[in-house]
Amino acid sequence: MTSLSLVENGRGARAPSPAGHMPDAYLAVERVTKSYRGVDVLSNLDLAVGQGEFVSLLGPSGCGKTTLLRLIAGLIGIDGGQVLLGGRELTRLPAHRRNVGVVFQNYAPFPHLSVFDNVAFGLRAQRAASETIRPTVERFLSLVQLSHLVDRSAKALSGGQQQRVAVARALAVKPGLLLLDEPFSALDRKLRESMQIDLRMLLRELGITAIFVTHDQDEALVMSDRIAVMNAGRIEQFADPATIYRRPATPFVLDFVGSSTRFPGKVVDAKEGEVVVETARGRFRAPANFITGASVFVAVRPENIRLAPPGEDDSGLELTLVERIFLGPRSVLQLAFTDGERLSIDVPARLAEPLAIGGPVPLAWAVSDTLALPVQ
Amino acid sequence: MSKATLDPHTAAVARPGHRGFKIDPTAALALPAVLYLVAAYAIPLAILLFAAFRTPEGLSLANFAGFFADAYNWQVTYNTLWSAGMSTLACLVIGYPTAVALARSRGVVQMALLVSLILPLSVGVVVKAFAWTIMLRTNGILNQALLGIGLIDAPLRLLFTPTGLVIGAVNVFLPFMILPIYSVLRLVDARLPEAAATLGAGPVYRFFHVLLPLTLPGIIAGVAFVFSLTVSMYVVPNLLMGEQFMTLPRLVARSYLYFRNEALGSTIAVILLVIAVAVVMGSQYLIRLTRHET
Ligand SMILES: Nc1ncnc2c1ncn2[C@@H]1O[C@H](COP(=O)(O)OP(=O)(O)O)[C@@H](O)[C@H]1O
Ligand SMILES: [Mg+2]
Repeated sequence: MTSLSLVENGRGARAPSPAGHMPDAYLAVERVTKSYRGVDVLSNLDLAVGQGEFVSLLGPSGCGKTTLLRLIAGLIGIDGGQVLLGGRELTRLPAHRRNVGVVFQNYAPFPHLSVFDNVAFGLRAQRAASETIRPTVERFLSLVQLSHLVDRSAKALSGGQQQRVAVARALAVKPGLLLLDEPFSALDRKLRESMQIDLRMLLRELGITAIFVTHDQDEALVMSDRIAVMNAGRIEQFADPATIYRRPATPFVLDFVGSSTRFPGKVVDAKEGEVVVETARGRFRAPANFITGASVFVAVRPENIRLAPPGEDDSGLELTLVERIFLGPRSVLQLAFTDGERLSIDVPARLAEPLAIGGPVPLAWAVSDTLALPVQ
Repeated sequence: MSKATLDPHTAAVARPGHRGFKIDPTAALALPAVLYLVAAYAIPLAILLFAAFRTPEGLSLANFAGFFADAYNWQVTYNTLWSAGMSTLACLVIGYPTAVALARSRGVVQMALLVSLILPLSVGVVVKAFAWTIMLRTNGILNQALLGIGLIDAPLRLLFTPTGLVIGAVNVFLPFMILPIYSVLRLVDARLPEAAATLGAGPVYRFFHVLLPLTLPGIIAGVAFVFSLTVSMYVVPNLLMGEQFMTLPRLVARSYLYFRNEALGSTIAVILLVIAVAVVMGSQYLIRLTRHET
């Protein structure tokens, strides 16, 4: 896999490639395939999650995130491959024997039950000793801060409260794995942010392994130990948030997580750990392993670009300032190449002030911050 | 209020006497139906009630007291409630799984199921009941089929038995059980049984603790529907049952046609009416109760 070529940077010891077979993984999804009417929604997907890990599945709508979760939970059948949890094969077990908890997208507390009975539901269904039910329910309701609503009817709650009931209900049975499918997407931003932090702390405290589905990159970056970026039924990269952001393995990951400036080109010189790429905007060095002649993208994250002439270990460009947009703490600079093509970057407002419209703007970035990604 | 009275227009509107006299003009659209119901139901009902309560000494409950003084009439009432109850129960037991299948099916299958449910409603009750007399005969199709597959050794007596009556009634009234349950089932969030499964609830537990309570309003409506229809059924018992199994509706017909006893006929008719009204009101009350509890 060419995408492995970016590792040799001394930074990420973990392989940022799509997850391969990991024998000691707590949850192992192996070569899982699922298709609807002959169309593969998931194809040969592998995912290995360690015990106690919080993993986000990040990807655009329709890429198969919900399908993967439902498959792990046993709510839909599997067409090929297998799922193991703690060494136990789940693939042929019905949902109610898997001990895999689920929190759905648009909350689904039982509307005919009180908050208490919702949280007690799984304990009663699994015939927990009756004297343990009340203390357990009360403990989990206090963990999600709903103790004051214990006797309320579940459908009389707000969206955020309903989702807390759903979380408490799923946790009360001590699931071996908790799956969350965009649980906060219907909540407003402020509530969502506080629930993200609460949930993360709660799961860490309880040591619960969780897979959290989202299409919101910020949510994934904030909450996860590791992020699996999904695209069209496959995992493009599985790594910790910093690696995903700083060392995206594919152009898709680069685009989906954060913004960047990028130029297509060809590798004209390759030595151990570094390539030189010829693009329409000049030659750029990048830390990567490609063979000479390979088609690649050269990309830079905007925050790594400085307003300065390039130094020793830098690459650089000189553009013309067309427009300066003041945004308070930061300013957006509209820059133009000689052929008129535009590039916009945002910089601290103080640095933008001395620049004259129509004047030259030198840009520089470190070679070590330069990304080179295979064209797919 | 003091602010409103400053404005003569709002003051006039706010005057209490004007309240309640405004008639929504669209209500007039219901006029033909209202006229029809008055002519076809309200007037005959008034006549019926009058006849039931009229005695030589004036209006009284004497006709009812007389009716219930006769042990035979108690037997008839029992027969009526028993056959209605058994038919309703059979419809529920057969209808609920059918409604589930209907709600889970998609596309062409669902369409086919719905059509096969609704189309037979266009076949008259008399035709259906008569067909069952042929089916249920000792040498009828049902017995021959059961003998053929070896389920029984000797033909069963079905015609003129309560079992035969329930079989016939289920055929006629089953759609009235399935449709209300189906309409409630369709609205049940599919994720609720799924959530229950992920909490460790097996199929039986899910049924009794999720699906059943959530569809209770549909069950109550279907039971009320079928019970009030079967308690007043006339054609089916008339064709499928012998003379010894008298029911209230048959007794009404008999009172008018053979005995020419208008007082007895209208008294029994009022008793049936009371049962039907009680069932409808009771079911409404129960449905509201399930809503308030949740
Ligand atoms: N029951 C189904 N029948 C047919 N196609 C389905 C079904 N469920 C999902 N799909 C298809 O599978 C793809 C992935 O869906 P999903 O897993 O819901 O995506 P995501 O959760 O990432 O938005 C979509 O293209 C969707 O149309
Ligand atoms: Mg989804």
